[in-house]
Amino acid sequence: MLLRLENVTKIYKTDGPPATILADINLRVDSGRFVCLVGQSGCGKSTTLRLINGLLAPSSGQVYFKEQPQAGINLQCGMVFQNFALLPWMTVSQNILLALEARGIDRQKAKKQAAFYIDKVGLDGFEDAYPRELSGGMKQRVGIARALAVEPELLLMDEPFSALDPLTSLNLREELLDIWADSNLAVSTVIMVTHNIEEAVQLADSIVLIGGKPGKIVQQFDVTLPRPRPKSDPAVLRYVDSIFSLMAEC
Amino acid sequence: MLNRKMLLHRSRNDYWLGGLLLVVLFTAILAGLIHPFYHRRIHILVSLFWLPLDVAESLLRMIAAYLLSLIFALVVGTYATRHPRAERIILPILDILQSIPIVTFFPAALAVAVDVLGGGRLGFEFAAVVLIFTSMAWNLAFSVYESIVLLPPEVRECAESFGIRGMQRFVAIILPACIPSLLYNSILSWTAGWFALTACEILTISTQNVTLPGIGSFLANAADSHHPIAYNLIGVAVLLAVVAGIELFVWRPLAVWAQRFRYEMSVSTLSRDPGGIAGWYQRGRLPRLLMQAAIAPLNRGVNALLAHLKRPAPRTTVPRVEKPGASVRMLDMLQRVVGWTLVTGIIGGGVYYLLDIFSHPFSPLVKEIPVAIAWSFLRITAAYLLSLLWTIPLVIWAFRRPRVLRALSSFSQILASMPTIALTFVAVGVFVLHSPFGPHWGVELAGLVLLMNGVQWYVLFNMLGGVSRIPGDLIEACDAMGLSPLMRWRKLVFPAILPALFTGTITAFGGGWNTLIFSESIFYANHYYHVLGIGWLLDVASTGQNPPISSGATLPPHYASGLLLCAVGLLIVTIVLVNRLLWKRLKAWALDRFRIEY
Repeated sequence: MLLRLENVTKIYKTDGPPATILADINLRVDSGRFVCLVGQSGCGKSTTLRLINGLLAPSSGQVYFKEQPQAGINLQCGMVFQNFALLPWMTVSQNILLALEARGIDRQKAKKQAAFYIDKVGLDGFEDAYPRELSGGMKQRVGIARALAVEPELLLMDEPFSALDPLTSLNLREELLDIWADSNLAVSTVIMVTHNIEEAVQLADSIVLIGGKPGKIVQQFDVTLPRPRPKSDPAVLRYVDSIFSLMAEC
Repeated sequence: MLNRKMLLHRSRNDYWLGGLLLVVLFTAILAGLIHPFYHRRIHILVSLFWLPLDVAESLLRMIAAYLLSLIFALVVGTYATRHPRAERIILPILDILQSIPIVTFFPAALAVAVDVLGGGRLGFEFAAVVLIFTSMAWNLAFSVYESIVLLPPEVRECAESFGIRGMQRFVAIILPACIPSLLYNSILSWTAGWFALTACEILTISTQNVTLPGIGSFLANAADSHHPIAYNLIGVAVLLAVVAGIELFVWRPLAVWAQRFRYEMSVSTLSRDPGGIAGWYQRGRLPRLLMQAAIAPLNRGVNALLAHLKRPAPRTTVPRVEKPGASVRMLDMLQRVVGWTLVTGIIGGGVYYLLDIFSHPFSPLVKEIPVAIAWSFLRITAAYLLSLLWTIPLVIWAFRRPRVLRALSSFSQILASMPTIALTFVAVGVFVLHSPFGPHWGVELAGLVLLMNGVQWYVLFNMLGGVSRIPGDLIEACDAMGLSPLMRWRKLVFPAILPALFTGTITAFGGGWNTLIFSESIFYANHYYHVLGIGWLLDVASTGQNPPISSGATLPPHYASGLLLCAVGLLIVTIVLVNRLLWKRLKAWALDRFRIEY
C-alpha cells in the first residue's frame, strides 16, 4: 500500500461559517496504479490532491504514505499544476534545477538529471528557452519534466491538460502513459485530478468519483479495458456514460 | 532580445565579480558621502563652479535614501505577508505615513541629527537622507507586500510542494516577483524624493539654518544670488536634465529588463514594439550594446546567485515534518529584533516628547489650526479643479495620438520631480512683486500656482495612463457605430478613465498636502510671505520660528513642538478621514463599475 487516506475531512475557516469541503474520505492507492479523481468543479478533488501532497493539512483524519503517518510536505511526490506554475524569469532547465537543488542534489548530478528528463518529455533543444517563448503544451511538458526530475514515487497531477487545446492534450496524454509504463523511470504511481471523464477512462486503472456537498467519495471502480483505449470504442463509451449518470445523480 | 547564451553563461568568476562590484559601489558611495564633500565648506552656497558637485552630492543623498528605502520595503513588506498579526498593524500605519507631509518628520530627524549624532556635518547628512527616505519608502513597502500577496497561488504551492524554502525561495521566487512593481514604484519614489529635496537640504533648527550643498539648496538660495533669475533657470534646467537622464539611462532600460519578471507576460505582448525610447532600446545597435553593458552583469549576477544557492538538505525517504531552515529562523530573529527595537524606540521617544510638550504652555496659534486646515483644503481643491481645467482638454486632444500620449506622460513624470522652490521666483515675480491684485491676493495667487505644481502632474499622468489603457477594439467599435467625438468621450473615454482619475486625485491631494508648506509660506529674496493655512503653521512649528509678523523673535521651542504636535495630529486625522470617507470609496466604486476586463 503506497498511500492511504483515513477518514480525512477538510474544513475551511472563512469569514462566514466554516465550510466543510471534504468529509470522511477513505482512499487506498497501491503502488504502480494510475488513479484518476473525477468530479464536478468545486467538489474537492483538487483539495484531495493537496492533502495527499501535504500542501494542506487534514482537519481530521490522517494521510499515510507507505503506512507512515504524514505530516507536512511529502517530498516523495512530484506535482504537476494546471497552469504550469513555471517561473517566467527562469529558463526551462533553471526551472527544473530549482526543484532539484531544493532537495540538496549535487549540481553536476542535478544538471544531468534535468537534461535527462528534458529529453524524456521531448523538449530537447529548448533547455535555454524562457517559458513565455513556449506554447502551452510545451510549458506543461516542462511542468511534467520538473515533477519527474525529482524522481518521485508518486506523481500528482492537478488537471494537467485542461489549459491546453484538444490536440495537444491528446498527444500529451499518450506520452504520459508511455512515461508511466517506462520501467526505467522512478515514477510508478500516478494520481491525476480531472473533470474530463473521457480522459479519465482513457488513462486510469482506477477512477474515484467525488461528489456532493461536502465532497465524499461516491464510487470507486477499476477500468479493466486494455490500452490503448480509443475514444470511439463502445466499451470506453459505456464507461463514460455510466460515470456521467453517476455524476448527475449526486 | 539579448544574447541568451551570453546571459546564461555563469561561472564562479561572475559571482565574485558581481559581489566585488557591489562592495566597491557601496564603499564608493560611503567614501563619496564622507570624504571630499565632508570637508567642503558649507557656506559656499550659490556658485556655478560648484554646481556639478552640488548635483553629485544630491544624487548621493538620493541614492543612499533609496537604498535605505529598498531595504526597509523588503524587510517590512515581506514581514507583513508572513505575520498576519503584524500585517494588521503595518498596513494602516504605512497608509497613514504615505499620506502625511514629510515636514512632519523634521523634528524627529533633526533631534537625532543634533542630539544623537552631535550636530556635525555627518549628523545633518544623516537627517537629510532620512527625510528623503520618508518621501520614498512607504509606497515601495506597499509594492513589495502587494507583489507577494498577488503571487499566483500555484506558484506558491509549487514552491512548497518541491520544498523550495528559506533563502532559495526568497531569491528565486519572492524577490523576482517584486521587481516589476518595485521598479514602477521606484520611479514614483524618486519623483517624490526630488520634489522633497529642497526641504531636506535646508534644515532649520530654531535660529540656526543648516544648508547642505546640493541642487536643492542651490535652487532655494538662487534668489539670494547676484543673478537670481538666471541662477534659478540654470538650476531648474540642470535638475530636469538630471531627472531626464536618470529616466532615459536607468529606468527605461530597467523597465525593458523587468519584463522578464512578469507573470502575465505572453509572447504577443512582449514581441510588440513598445515604441518610443523603450522601443529604441530594443531595436537599436548602440542601445543594445549599452543595455548589454549595463544589464548583462545584472542578469549574470542574478543567474550566478541562483546557481549558487544550495540547500544542504539530505534526501529523505520518508515524509517528514518540514521545519523552517536556519536562514529563515535567522531572518525571523533579525526582523523581530529590528522591529521591536524600532517600536520601543518610537514609543519611548514619543512618550518623552509628549511629556515634554505637555509640561509647557501651548502656543496661541493652536486655536487657528482647524480654520487653517479648512483654508488649506479649499486651496488644494481649487488647485485640483484648475488642474483638471487644463489637463482634461489636453488628454482629449492627445487621446488618438499615441506618440503625443507617450511624450506627454514622460514629460509629466519628469516635471513632477521639480521642487516647488524652482517655480517660486516666477510665481512671486508675477503675482507678488508686480501684482495688480494687492499684496494679500497676490500671495494667495502665487501660492495657488505653486500648489498646482504639486497637484497637476499627478492628475495628468494618471489620466494619460487611463486613456492609453483603453482597448483598441472598444475605440474601433465606437467608430464603427459612428459615434460623434462628444458621444465617444461621454460614453467611452470618460467612464474608462474614471478609475485612473480617482487614483490621480488621491495622489494629487497627497501631493497638495505635501506642497502646502512651500505654497503658504514663501521665503523669497529676504522676504517672508504667508497666508493662513496649515502649511504655514507647520512651517512655523517645524522651524520653530515665530511668525515674522510679531517682529522676528523666535518662538520658544516647547511652544513650537506643542503646535507641531497639534497641527500634525489634526492634519493626519483630516487626511485619513478624507481618504477613507471620500476618495477610497469613490475609487472603489469607479473600479467596481468602470473597470475594463476581459
